Amino acid sequence: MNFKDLKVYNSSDFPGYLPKLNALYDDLFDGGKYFRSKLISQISKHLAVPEKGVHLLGQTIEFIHNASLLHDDLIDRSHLRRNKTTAWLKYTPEYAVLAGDYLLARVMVNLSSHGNIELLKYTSEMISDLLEGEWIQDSLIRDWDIQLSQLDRVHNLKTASLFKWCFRSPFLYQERYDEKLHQQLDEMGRLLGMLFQRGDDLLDFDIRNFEKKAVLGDLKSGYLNSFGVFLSSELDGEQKKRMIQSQTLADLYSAVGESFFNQRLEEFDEINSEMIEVYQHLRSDLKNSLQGDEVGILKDLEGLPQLLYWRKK
Amino acid sequence: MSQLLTIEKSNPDFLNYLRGSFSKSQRAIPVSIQKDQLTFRLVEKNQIERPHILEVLSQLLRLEYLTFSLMPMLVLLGWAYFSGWQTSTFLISSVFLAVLLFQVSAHFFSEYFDHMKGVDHIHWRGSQVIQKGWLTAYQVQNLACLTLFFSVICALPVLLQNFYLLLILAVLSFLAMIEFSSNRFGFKYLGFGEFSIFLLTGPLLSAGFTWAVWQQVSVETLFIGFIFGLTSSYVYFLKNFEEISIKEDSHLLTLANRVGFDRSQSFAMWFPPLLLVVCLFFGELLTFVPKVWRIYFLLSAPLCLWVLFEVKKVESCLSSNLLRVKNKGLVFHFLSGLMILLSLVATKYLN
Repeated sequence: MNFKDLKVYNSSDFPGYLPKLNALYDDLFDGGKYFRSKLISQISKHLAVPEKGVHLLGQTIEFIHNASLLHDDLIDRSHLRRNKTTAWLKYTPEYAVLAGDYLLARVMVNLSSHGNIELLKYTSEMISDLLEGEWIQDSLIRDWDIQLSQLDRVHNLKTASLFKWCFRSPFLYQERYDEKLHQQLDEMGRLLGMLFQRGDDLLDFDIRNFEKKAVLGDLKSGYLNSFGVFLSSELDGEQKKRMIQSQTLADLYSAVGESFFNQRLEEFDEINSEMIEVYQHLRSDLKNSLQGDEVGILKDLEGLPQLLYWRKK
Repeated sequence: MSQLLTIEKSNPDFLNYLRGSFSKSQRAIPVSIQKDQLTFRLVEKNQIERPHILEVLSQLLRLEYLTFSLMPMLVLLGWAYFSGWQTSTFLISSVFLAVLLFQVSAHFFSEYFDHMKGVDHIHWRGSQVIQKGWLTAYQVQNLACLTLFFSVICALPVLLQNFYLLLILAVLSFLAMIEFSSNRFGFKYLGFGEFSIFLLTGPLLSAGFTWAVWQQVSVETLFIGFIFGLTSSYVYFLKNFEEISIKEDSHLLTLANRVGFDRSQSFAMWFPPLLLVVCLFFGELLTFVPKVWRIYFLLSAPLCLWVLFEVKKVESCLSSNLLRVKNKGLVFHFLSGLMILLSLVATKYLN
């Protein structure tokens, strides 16, 4: 199932009489990878979720994700999103906030129309987590002494909560409420979310940056991401100062030393490989909680760390 | 080589893995925690890089927290010396050692119970000695029992002489047990941790210590206990403030969680100056040498301002500077004790 064909976003779903709303959403949804909705689609096919359900779940996760991007870009004062001017700059900050809120409201309307109260409750909790993460992350700007465990907590709220939802929502849609199963899926989603975030943070240092994303964006905007924290944790004061002032990768290598950079990268990959090992262990354990054809999920979930952390297609 | 093992909490072997008593050659390190099950990484003991045992023990001891019992006892000793109270050095040493060992034992028990409750696995708090596989929970529990035993041995000469002291210590031990033993009864998880710390390290400690060593309790020594009790519970409050988001996740209602981030920050900022004013006011009213508290007020004012501005810098529940406020509180506790001692000396010489 190709989610772009399914059209997660359709401008006719939103009221045409509101100025700029559809134009803003057209810009926002164009060019997205729709990874999360694809993941839901993959899981759903083994649970025999009807196409209507897959569409609802896919639309829900993409609406929530894009609402968070609208808010994030404004909070971070980012100028570009998917190589286009961000919504708050192109339209107004007020419109960007309202457009994000509107997407979240639409999610609630759609899910409540479906009528699964457990799914609705879980989705509301996930949105709360996401917003808590956004709230905290804003206060971490220019905090150069932050520790990885603290950053992990933000990423758990902001990034991993969406992955957990992708794993659990198809089961909830099918009214599979087995508590143990959901605990397992929750933990796997958490690990995968952390891995995705860490892989994404490495792109900022031009590691496995196959998509050629702009580098050092986080650092330049005053945000020390997970690899930045890991790299800087063993630097002395002067080196750290030079690192955070780096404008190019050459500046960064000169501040920390290229061999030290590579050594820390190796160590970072090593701790994340251990996390992948735990994910794969939990995945094989999941078999005992699945029924019939559902076990097909296991195969689909196997390659995700390769894709999300190692960025291998 | 290591392997992963997921085991349900209802499994009869679960506690053996958690306590580390399942094998003599392997350690079980928690790597993933779920509500009903835990995943351990089973590692050969000799594959774990462990620092020297003294370093391990110093981390486990949490030396910085010993100021809770050390400073009140030193100040009480100073007060008694300048007041001309007489006693034997043997008695002082044995009681001093007994109290310190009792606190160390409480640290070990706390480490053990936090591990058993699963609090330290996910949040990288505590000394991490068990979570890194340097010692098993079982070994830490044994160490806790052993130090408690030695604490009782040290206190034995005094205990045998004095029934009332025995009673005070029994109350102290009971409070400590409730404080650290279980989720159901633990004061710290009911939001009363600050109050129990106040009693344990304040009035009960000062009354017990002076009664044991000099067989007397005075308004002044109780007042000293009151001040240290407040300061220790302030440090404890700062620790809970530091962990406000962790406790929120675990649905543990500490005082900081009950009042929220903003009010906790205000309280943490204004407590030290308020304490100084309280010392000055009650010092004038209750004690026979108010000059001590006037000098203490003057000496400690910069210290209070330092703490106030350090706490003010904290921006959020995950800011890196929040991770340092508890240490500022410990420094405040230690230096407060030192300032009172200095005030005592200064009063003596000014007279």
